[in-house]
Amino acid sequence: MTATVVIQEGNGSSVTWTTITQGRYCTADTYNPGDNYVCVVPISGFNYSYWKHHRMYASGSFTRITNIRWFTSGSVKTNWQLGTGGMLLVGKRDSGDNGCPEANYAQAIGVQGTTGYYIGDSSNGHPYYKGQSTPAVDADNYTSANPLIVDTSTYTAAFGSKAVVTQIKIAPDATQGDKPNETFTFRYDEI
Amino acid sequence: MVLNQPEPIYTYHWIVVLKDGVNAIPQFDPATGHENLWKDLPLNNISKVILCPFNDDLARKVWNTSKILAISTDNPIISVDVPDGEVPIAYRVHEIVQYDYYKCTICGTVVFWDGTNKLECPTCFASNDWYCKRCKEIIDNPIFLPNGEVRCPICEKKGDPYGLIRTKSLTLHVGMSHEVFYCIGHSGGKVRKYDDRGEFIEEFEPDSSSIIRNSSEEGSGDSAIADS
Repeated sequence: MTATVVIQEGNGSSVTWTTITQGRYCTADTYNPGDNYVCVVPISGFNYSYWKHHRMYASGSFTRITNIRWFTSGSVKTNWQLGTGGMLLVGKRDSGDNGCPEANYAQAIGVQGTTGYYIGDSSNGHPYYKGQSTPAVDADNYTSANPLIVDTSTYTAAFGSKAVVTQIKIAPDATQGDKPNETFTFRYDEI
Repeated sequence: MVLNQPEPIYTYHWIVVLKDGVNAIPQFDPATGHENLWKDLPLNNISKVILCPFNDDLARKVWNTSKILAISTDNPIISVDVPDGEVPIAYRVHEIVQYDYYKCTICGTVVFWDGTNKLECPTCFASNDWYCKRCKEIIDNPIFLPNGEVRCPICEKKGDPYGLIRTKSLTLHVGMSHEVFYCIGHSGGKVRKYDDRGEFIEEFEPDSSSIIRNSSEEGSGDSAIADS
């Protein structure tokens, strides 16, 4: 058989990976919050969702899987009306792959129900990214023509890839309420 | 655990022609549907790579043998000649698209909303609204407080704050689609990428990760895979 690949979200203090059938950015470390822990528009400054880890998991037989990339529609911040300076942030490394290895997974933290901590926060940020010169960037930069390099490892047997780490940054003039539908895409090469 | 995420559906499989011009090795054995892996090919002994559309018989055998989903199409056959000294390239590019959508809890209609106009079910016109039990009306401009509370602006104006109730007729869901693209070429030329209908997408220089080399079969028509 060829590879069977799914997308998973990681949660918990010791990571548990769940194959995605639901998903929502929220203000708690939970895979499927429903209508709880909604993101809150701040009076001033910025609020954040808790960050999320998403990865590819592959099983089955294949010669090799490599070049795992990720991209958005390129218009998340405008579609979701995240306000001035608001955006979907994605964790970025100064060099090499931008995905977070499982060994460097860090549970999302923040003030539950209000805001997550910024990925790049010098004290409470994501340990794998916060020391980078640009720890998180606008995910709209990454489109089909210019995807984010997530994981260039060569896999020849079942694996969980490095994870894309994302969070929502919300400005005071963001619009509360239902959001238009969006797409996020994982791309990989299979031989 | 694999749960509710789509499997790719293949429309093409590869066949390589060896340098003798007589023998060929298919990705899927036409008699059994058994899959041969690219890494097991005599890669230094290939003169042509062909992308062939599945026919019904092979698609059925592949499903029975390996549970790989393939469909028969009228897609064009695509091929590339491999010059002496070059290594053939054939791989698939997969895109797993994670998308969200709304589903109407009243009538079950699936709604894709691009943000224009109001989010509303096109079949039964249900929508997500904020309702004030005191005013007994739907409130279009609620007051959102930083603590997550949502209040009625009419009651607020009267100096008697009152919270709103959310009526949730359209619920958010996540879906996945899985698209497959096919790339063929050789190490000394461009790689050409096609979609699952055989439409040319783009061509580009091969990168090292797309090239598998082996050395044991140099100049030989033999391989670890039975000729077919």
